[in-house]
Amino acid sequence: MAIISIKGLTKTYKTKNKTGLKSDSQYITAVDDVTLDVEQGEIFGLVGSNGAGKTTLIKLMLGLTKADSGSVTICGYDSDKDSEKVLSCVGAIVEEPTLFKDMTGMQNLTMLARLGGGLPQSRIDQVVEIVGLKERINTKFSTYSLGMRQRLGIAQAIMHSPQVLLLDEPINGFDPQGIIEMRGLLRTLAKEYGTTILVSSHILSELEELCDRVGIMKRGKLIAVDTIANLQKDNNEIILRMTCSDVIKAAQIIAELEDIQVKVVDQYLYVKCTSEQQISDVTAALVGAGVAITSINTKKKTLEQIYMETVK
Amino acid sequence: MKGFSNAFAGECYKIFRKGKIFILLGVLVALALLLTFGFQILQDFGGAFDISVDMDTIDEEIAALEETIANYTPAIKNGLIDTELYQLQSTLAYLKYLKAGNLRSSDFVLAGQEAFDSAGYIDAVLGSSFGIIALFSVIMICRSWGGEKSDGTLKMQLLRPIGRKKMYGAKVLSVWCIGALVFIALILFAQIVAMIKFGVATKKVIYVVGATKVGVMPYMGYLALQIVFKLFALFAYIQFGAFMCNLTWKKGNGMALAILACIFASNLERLLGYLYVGYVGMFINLDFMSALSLTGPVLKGMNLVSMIIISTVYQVVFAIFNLYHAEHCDIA
Repeated sequence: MAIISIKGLTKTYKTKNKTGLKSDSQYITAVDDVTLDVEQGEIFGLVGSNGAGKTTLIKLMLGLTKADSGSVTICGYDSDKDSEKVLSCVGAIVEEPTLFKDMTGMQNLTMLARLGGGLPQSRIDQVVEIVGLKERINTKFSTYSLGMRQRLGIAQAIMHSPQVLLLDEPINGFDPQGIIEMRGLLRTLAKEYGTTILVSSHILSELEELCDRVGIMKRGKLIAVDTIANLQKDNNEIILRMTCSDVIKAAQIIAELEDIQVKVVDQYLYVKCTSEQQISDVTAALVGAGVAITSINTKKKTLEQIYMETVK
Repeated sequence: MKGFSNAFAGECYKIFRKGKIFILLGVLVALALLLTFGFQILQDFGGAFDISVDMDTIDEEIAALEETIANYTPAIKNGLIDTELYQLQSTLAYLKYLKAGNLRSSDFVLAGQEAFDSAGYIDAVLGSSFGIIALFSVIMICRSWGGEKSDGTLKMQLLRPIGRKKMYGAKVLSVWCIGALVFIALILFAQIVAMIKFGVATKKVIYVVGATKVGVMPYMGYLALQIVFKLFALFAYIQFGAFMCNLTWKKGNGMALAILACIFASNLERLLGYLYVGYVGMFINLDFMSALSLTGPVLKGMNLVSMIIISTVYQVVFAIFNLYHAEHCDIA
């Protein structure tokens, strides 16, 4: 059974235009009939441009925003009817973590831990160490950089060992080292503790490395959901980069093959195939014509390329 | 319940750690001390109001009042704020009460009457400090509810497994409890100062209800009643502040409107008394003690029971609206 189950979720916002008159109100569908299941222990990535509805979807899941229609079930509880039970099994960051500026990181964590029913100090110390904030935890939140705020946000999200983590742009402001650490942490949580993670990010390469599945959102709709491998398969486009004894001759031979495009760039031969059979055809044709292939690499599409083509 | 108590403790912690509450307490203590000098000067210059009634001429005074009431013509036709008749009737009831019991007016304090003694001093501290505490509390709830919503900190707290209603309730209750704590601490301080400067308030209090019923109660009972009424009013102001923030959903707008209303709405409602609207005004109906004084409530026909009912209805409506809003609003 899916630990996160979203069915037909829709949220429409009413906005006023510059005149501010009621008659000029417009409706914007931020989330449009989204249905999604996420399994336990899965890391699910949410991809989409600004305003695609990622943050609204996460807010709807957390009950921060009320849906017009549809339902969200997390850990078996309806997020609208049993919001307290849902929140007790969920840890989350929504947008940039905003905590009390005049309190230290530790005071903020302690206060939030109390709101959740209390945690031993040793557990709070442990998460502070996990997110790498030990040295600055007793300084005021107002002095924190964006990366440090995100670290504190992640600390508050994981401190009560939730079954589900909903992270909206969690690595915003992180340095490369921080990104690697955070990726490791999320993987550990998913693999060792079975934590289900739904993460949205603009850094698509990061999601590509981290996620088991991704969902692509466009104008509130979830237009594609699959593993990255399947999405790459669906696009079924394979680029071959080859070097050979006679690049010009090779390009002429390949150009004669049906449905295969070829291009020569800096002594490299780039061949666009749509199936594995075409790769065999290319190599067989070159070998048959006496062209020696000195190197050959296949290059699959990145998540970024898949995303750009999907939302086009 | 544990979630609520944790939220309540967290809210109290947030208010206390900012230290502004101690500044408020300091200002109020300074005000109370300043009032002692003012009272001392007025006492030295013999400025106390003469509220004594000469028992030898009380019959003549009663007869004169009865005649005035019989021939009474209101200064303003259909004037709802014309409470002169009420005052005449109250005074008549008061004099009759003194006469029937053969009581000396100097042995009593008259509810609502200004006097430069221990009871008058405590009344003055109570009255002047309440306005400041009420304004402070309105600002606190606007910052705590509207402010935390707009700056995003409320969102982080609502990610914890505590219901929105509990969170809202914890905020309102913590602001009210702290306001009440400051108020009671100040009254205790004023009691000590009054005892030192003006002696112990031992006189009983005579009150008049509905311009006809006269009663007596011990001073401490009267003081306790005043405190209870003021604390009810404080809760009303806090709920009103939260209501205004919910209406505008912007801390600044809600706070500004709530403060303006707290300062001016009572007078506006009094003016609107001409149109009967004033009768259902919240602020005008929160001045419960006026219903026990000789001058009576602000508008003709108002009484303690109607004031309590109307202001309670307001509280229930505000509570329902605010809790509904807390539960169903979108948190940005």
